[in-house]
Amino acid sequence: MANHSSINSSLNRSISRRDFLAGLAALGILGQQQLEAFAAQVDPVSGSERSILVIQLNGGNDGINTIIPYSSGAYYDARPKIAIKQADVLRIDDKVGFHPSLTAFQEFYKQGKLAVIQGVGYPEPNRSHFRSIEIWQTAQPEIIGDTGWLGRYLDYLSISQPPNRVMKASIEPGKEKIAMLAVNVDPLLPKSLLARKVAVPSVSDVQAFRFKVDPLYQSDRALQLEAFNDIYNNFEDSRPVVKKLRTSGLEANRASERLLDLVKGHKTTVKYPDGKLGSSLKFIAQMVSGGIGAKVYTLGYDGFDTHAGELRTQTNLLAGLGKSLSAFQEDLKQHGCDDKVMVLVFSEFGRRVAENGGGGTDHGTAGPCLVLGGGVKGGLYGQYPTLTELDHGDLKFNVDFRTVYATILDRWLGADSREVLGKSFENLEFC
Amino acid sequence: MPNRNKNKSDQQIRHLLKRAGFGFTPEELAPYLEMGYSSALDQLTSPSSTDNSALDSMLAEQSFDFTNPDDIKRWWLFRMMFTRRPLEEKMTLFWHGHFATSDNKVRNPYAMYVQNCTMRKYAFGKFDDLLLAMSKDPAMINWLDNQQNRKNKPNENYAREVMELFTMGIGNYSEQDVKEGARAFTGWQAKPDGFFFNSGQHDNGSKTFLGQTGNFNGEDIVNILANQKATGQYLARKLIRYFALYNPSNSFVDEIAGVYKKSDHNIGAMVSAIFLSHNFSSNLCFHSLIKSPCEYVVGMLKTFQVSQVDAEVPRLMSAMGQNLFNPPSVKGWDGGENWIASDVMMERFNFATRMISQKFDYLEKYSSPAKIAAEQGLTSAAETVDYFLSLLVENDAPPSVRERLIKYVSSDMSGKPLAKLPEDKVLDARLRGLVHLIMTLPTYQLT
Repeated sequence: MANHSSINSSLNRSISRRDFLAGLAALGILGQQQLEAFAAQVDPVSGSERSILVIQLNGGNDGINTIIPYSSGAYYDARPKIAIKQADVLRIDDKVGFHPSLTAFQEFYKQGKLAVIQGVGYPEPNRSHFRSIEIWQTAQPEIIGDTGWLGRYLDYLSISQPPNRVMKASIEPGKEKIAMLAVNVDPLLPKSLLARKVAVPSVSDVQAFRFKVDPLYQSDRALQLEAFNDIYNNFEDSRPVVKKLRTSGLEANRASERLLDLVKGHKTTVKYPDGKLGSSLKFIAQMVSGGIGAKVYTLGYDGFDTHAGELRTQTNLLAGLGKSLSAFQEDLKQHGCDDKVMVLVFSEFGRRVAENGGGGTDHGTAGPCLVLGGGVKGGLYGQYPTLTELDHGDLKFNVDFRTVYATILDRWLGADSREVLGKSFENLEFC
Repeated sequence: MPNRNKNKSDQQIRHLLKRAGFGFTPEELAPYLEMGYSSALDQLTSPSSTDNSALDSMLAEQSFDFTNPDDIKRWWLFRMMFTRRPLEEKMTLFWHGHFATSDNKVRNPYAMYVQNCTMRKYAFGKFDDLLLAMSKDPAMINWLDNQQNRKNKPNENYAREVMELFTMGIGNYSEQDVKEGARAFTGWQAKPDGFFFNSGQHDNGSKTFLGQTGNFNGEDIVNILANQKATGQYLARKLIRYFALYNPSNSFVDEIAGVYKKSDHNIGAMVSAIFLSHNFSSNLCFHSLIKSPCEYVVGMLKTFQVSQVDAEVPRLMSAMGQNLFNPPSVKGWDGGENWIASDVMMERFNFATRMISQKFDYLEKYSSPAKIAAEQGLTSAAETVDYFLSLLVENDAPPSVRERLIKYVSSDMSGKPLAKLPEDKVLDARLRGLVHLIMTLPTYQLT
């Protein structure tokens, strides 16, 4: 692996950034030290302080009971047991409204920082959880892609910045701003973050994320870490699996030192709800306000596969989502960062219009995307799919999910969505 | 050179035992080395011929409470640790990841335990029998909502996953097959004492499923699915990926799928064929898979002969990404590179730290690094490093690793170089640190 000083000297010789990075790519994946160089770039146009948090509702959230078409008779006909009563719906307009447990989202909406994009999906919908998740994460419905849309954005970022910006970024030796382009706050890396050139750390429990040694010989930690780094840096082996292990092990130790520092320095009076979602969002707020400089955060929220007993399950899950995001927004605001993060909430599919025999719903197709943040132009976007002309009992989508991605990439992150998504998609007006 | 051949065949037997089980203690390894590869394989693939009463009495002593979610995890880890039939547990783990059911939703540890016993019972037999048993399994019925799958109000959950994940794989059926299959499984319910056919809720109408039409019930669907060519292919690929290689050639998959057909769907025959294949004994197969947390943890406990599974172990394994009886989804654990996300790697490193700390020194059989070094009569830094590199990674590390480890071992607590191995307390610290470092090597993560 190239070390830091060799990077700087390469840059000083004004080798084009693209060539330089291609050279790095030939060596293998970019490591933390290379990423630091990217993160040091300040680009006022694309807004390097802006980031996107993507929350995936795992299992297929019932969009129809999330953004409820309460003025539709067909809705009540199709769901005698699990329709939400008109009087309970938190109204957005005279047609649709929020699930009663989404009071926080109603509040966001009133504040003008929530966009509700209706009827989002893709052609020839796949009702397998795993394939549909893959389609959303790769943004490649036609093929089995091996990179994710966010990963390709990170790759794009690492080769698209003009070299002069890097030249201007002065990194004082020993005081490098250690940053990460993206952090996944889950034990598994989602396919959305698979990139060609950038390795993304996954950190689900920051407190446990530390290289430990025998407690009796605590003083040995520095020596072991030094040996560890030497060994990992020099572990010559051509097997791809060994390369992946090296990258992961090195990233783990580098990320851990930085993240533990950052978390120590963060103070907030906001009380997050108990549980994984709350603690994950708190950690993300710490990273944002601590200035880690990541462009992408990802997080999964489980339990939406409501084939049975949907009312109770979904009520609890949505309430948890609303309360946790409300705390997150408040925390960011306290730190003056609430206009720096855009939150995208999506699920792999919506659910069947008609309820099944178990007070639940089976796998369906289109559903809403929710986009939240200080930089969002709030409102309703897209048409609510008709409930009377269905495709095999399922909604027909109106908005291709890639237009949501393209809008975020082009307008929020200042990227070129064509490079990331492979072709051009229309932009929506939510930011 | 007979000696070299002997080394090669010993290495193959170790390779087999790691893949067909969870590693070994020196005592467990010895008889297999004695009997040679083909007898070792015979013994592993016919578990019922091996006496396992020592395990049974050991388990009885532990008096596990099978209604306790932590106890069932420890019970299974005890089995993996002390069984004389390692492949039986390895296959059961395969099926747990295949018919992946989570207590997170089922909320009934006893039902999970019963399901686990059913998987073990049918682990090596005819696939149709296992598939039928799983279709009638109470934990499964609750997990995939078949309890709510009723006449005129079908619930598609089980019908979809049985095709997508348990038999043929995606792309081999239509949405209509999902709907029709669901109708066939209507009325298949669970009661506290087991499977219950609720005939009043069963749809007796005609169904058209994968091109066949009839008044099908769940048994018919199981039969139709087990006889699909795609099912043999899907199982073959998955078994190969679990036991041998991540990216097998199509011809290897075809060969094992052929065994499925020829053997009348016999799983044991497929597994034997994988272990007998030249693909398995090739250099490409050695250290090509990333250890699952089960393999990593149980293997380490065995190497150091920690004769217990303390209450913390299941939680630590969960932090490494494998929470037994709670797979992340109905797809089970994806494995491979998914085992090595950065925080999961850190958990592995820290489990290795725990293993070499003083925590287990009180256990009589525990082989602490210093104890092993003394038993082996290791007197120089090079000898010590060589011994542990051989024991833990079968020397699968570039020369730079050996040099760096020798440098680490021959230094005092402040890192100052010493001319020879340090003594007493410093030696103890160095040996524990050395073993920890070897267990953090990229190649120690491999099997």
